[in-house]
Amino acid sequence: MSENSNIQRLKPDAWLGGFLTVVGLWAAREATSFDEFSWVYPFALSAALAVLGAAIGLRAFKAGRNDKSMGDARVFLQGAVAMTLVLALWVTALDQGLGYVGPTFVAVVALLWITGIRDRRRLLVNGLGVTVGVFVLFGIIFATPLPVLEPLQILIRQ
Amino acid sequence: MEVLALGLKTLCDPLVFSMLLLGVTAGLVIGTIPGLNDNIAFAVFLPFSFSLRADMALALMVGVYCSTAIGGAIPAIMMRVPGTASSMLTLIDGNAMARKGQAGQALSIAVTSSVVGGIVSALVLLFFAPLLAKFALKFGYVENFALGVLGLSSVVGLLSGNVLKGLVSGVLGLLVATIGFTLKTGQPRFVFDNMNLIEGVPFVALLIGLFGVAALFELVEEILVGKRSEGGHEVIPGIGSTKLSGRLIRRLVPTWFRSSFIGSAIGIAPGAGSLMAIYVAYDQAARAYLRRRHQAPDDPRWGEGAPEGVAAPETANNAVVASSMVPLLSLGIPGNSVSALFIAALAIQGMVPGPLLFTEHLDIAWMILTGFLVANILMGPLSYLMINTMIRMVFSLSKETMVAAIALLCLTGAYADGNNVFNIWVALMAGAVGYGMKKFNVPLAPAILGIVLGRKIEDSLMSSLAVSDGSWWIFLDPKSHPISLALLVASAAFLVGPVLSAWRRSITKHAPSSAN
Repeated sequence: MSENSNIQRLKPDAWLGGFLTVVGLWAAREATSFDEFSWVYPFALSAALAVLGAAIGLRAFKAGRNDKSMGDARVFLQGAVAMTLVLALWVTALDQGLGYVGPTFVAVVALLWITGIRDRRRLLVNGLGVTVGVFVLFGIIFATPLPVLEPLQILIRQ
Repeated sequence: MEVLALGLKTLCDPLVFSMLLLGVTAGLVIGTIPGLNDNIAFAVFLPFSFSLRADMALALMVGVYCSTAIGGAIPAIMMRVPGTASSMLTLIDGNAMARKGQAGQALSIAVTSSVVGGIVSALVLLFFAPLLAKFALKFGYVENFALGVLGLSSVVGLLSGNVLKGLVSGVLGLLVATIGFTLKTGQPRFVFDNMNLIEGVPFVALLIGLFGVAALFELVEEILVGKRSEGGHEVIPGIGSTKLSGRLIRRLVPTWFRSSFIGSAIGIAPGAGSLMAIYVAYDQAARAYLRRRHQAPDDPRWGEGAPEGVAAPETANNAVVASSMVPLLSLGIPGNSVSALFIAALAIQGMVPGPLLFTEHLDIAWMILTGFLVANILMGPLSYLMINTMIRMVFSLSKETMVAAIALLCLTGAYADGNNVFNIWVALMAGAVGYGMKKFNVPLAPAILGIVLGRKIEDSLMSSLAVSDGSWWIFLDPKSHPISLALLVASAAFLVGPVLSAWRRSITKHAPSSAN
């Protein structure tokens, strides 16, 4: 049996169990560095997480069947992963002083593209509509101080 | 009666009433759109609370919460696509009725049933929440700890067949709640030198992520898989007459009564949720229908257009709504995931759910209680007025644009809580984690409850142990803390029950093979 097929046979629950065990053990180790009044409770929870993770992992190995509950990996990559990436880039842009409107418009267009819109006019019109709509709602109606483009901020301060 | 009048007076303020009306309308619209549910509706509207008065903001939330379930029945009946998860059983008989040219009847049954279930549930809330809150005022640290444990174990225990993952979810939630400074010593825990985490993970952003953003990921997946476009290509049946005959109403009364009781009872139990309610109510209605059909063989078969098949789930899913607020408003324990979001709505206004809400913010507490009743009454006529518009809207909306708009509303909303970009990161990460949990079949409800109750559980545990010089028997002492003992016994029953029934099932399953 090839190595690839061995990997394919690993069930999602085995991965989940392993991950939870590692997180539990790491958190338990972290908890031991807290002061004498603050460590016991998080330590107990972390240890419980590690034990429960190990139990889930073991149960998955014992079950001996390939669990297909995760669904189509391609859809997962095209959907959730691509969307997270776009939104993460959008937040980074907001954080880097690129303002709200520009990065938001680009992010909206990218999200529309991910969900399957390919018509350029529709991308532009819908992208603009959503961006302006949310900007007006939060920035103007609710008076939320949205991130401002850095050079613009300098101008406003002057 | 005085407090009831106070609640109604607060609600009758024109601005507050407008917000309730806006909430009901928005909930109806959002519920009608397949893929959007009460979680998304709440996550989108939550940030609006920042700029509203407490009474207005909470009236808006009450309206949204009440009406999303009713909206979900419309596409279920017309297109065989449930608008919300709680209308997934409505589509069986509802769509069968629509295909027989009785769409109007099915829609009327759904609306009337939802209103009946909602009103019964609101009355349950009005009666039980203040009573329980009064009782809960007697609770000290020991009882509060036991109550927290009961809340968590009831949620985990109700996830039959998934107790292990339910426990993982609960523990994860409790661990997330430990992030930040401890109240006693000021020790920073799991903050990674990030000043934004010193007071804990931003609560509103966390909930917006776990509910709104995670649901968006699922929606994108649904769009990509193409499930929803299948429903869109179907021919929409004509609505026809929406008038219900007196005979049909009389026939449905027992179903409404039974399903309202089931929904309200399940709604009060933390973590049980609307899905359990619709399944139990549907099952009970099916049994009663089959008994009845022996006497009326001309009636359609169950699942092929029986009016009771629409009435039972629609009554039950709305009966869960207000009753799920009973444990939240009286004890501070959310009845289901959406009512957990209500905690965020209250927190934004500087309020904490629980018995103190009834002493410190009497007007608001009673406005919420009466708001549920009024929202359910408003829901009926509004639904009739909007049915045609909503059906047209479902087919004209671009789901792709909706994804982008909701993502922005949720994440910009998270930012608006303190005007901090860090909150967007929290919402995004929480969304990814929530979606991951769904993919790995880890239930979200225990984690939410763990996050909500974590601090309370830890503080009451530590304070109780300090009083008892470290003795754990303080929680089980029948003389000084009988309530705590009773609550912990109930918790143990919730956790042990599913394990015992699974064990019994496995014995029954293996018995014939061993006999062979």
